[in-house]
Amino acid sequence: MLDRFVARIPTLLLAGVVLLGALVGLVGEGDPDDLLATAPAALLLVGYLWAGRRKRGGRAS
Amino acid sequence: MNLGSLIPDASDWRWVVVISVFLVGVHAYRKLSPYFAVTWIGAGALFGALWCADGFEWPAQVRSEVVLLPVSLFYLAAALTKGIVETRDRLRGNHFFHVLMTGVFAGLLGLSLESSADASGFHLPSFGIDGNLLSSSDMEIGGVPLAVGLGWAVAASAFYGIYKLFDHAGLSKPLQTVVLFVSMPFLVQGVKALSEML
Repeated sequence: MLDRFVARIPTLLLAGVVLLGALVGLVGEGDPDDLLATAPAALLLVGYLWAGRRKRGGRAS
Repeated sequence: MNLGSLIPDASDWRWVVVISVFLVGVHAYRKLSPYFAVTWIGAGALFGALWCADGFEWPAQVRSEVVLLPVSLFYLAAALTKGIVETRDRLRGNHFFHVLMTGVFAGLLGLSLESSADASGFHLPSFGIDGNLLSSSDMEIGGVPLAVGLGWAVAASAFYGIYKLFDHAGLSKPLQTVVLFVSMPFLVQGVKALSEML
């Protein structure tokens, strides 16, 4: 249980960075342009999740 | 529900930084080793302190917890690199590629963090990139200059590179620890010099 949580810590941290950027850009005092600065991190999150799925061999046939 | 209340202000960033460092410590301790967790966080904190103090811009509004930010950002970039690169057999064990990609990922994460932090009033010191080709151009993403991302990229690559170098040099653990910590002031100066050259 703990090990499963620990294994997901990088995903959680990366999701936190993306969420923070999205919140600031959408509803915060930041400019909507802030969303653009978060886009690379969001792409990184997608790539990381895809790589994790590939590593586990869970890709749909 | 007011979503705006979820956005941290400058004082809330203390908890963002502390929680992220705690999670990094737990991950490093369980997935790698207690030694790795202690030396990464210790050397990263020293790097952060020197980054904030040693000749870089230090605006009055910068808060003290900022010294721990590099610990989390460098570790996250290195962990993501490992996770992504390890899906490719031919890239496994390629230390140079790991270090390079850690820098690239840290640069991408740095852009997002700088943007969020700035909008929340949580000011970060700069990596001292000025008067060079990149910063003199107007290239930016979402209001964050590309030079800022470059600063994070150079810093993360240098930190991870040095850590890997000493880890694989065959030194005893005590000697490795001493050499790692003693190298931090030189590393910060090197990052600054390299950033200014780019």
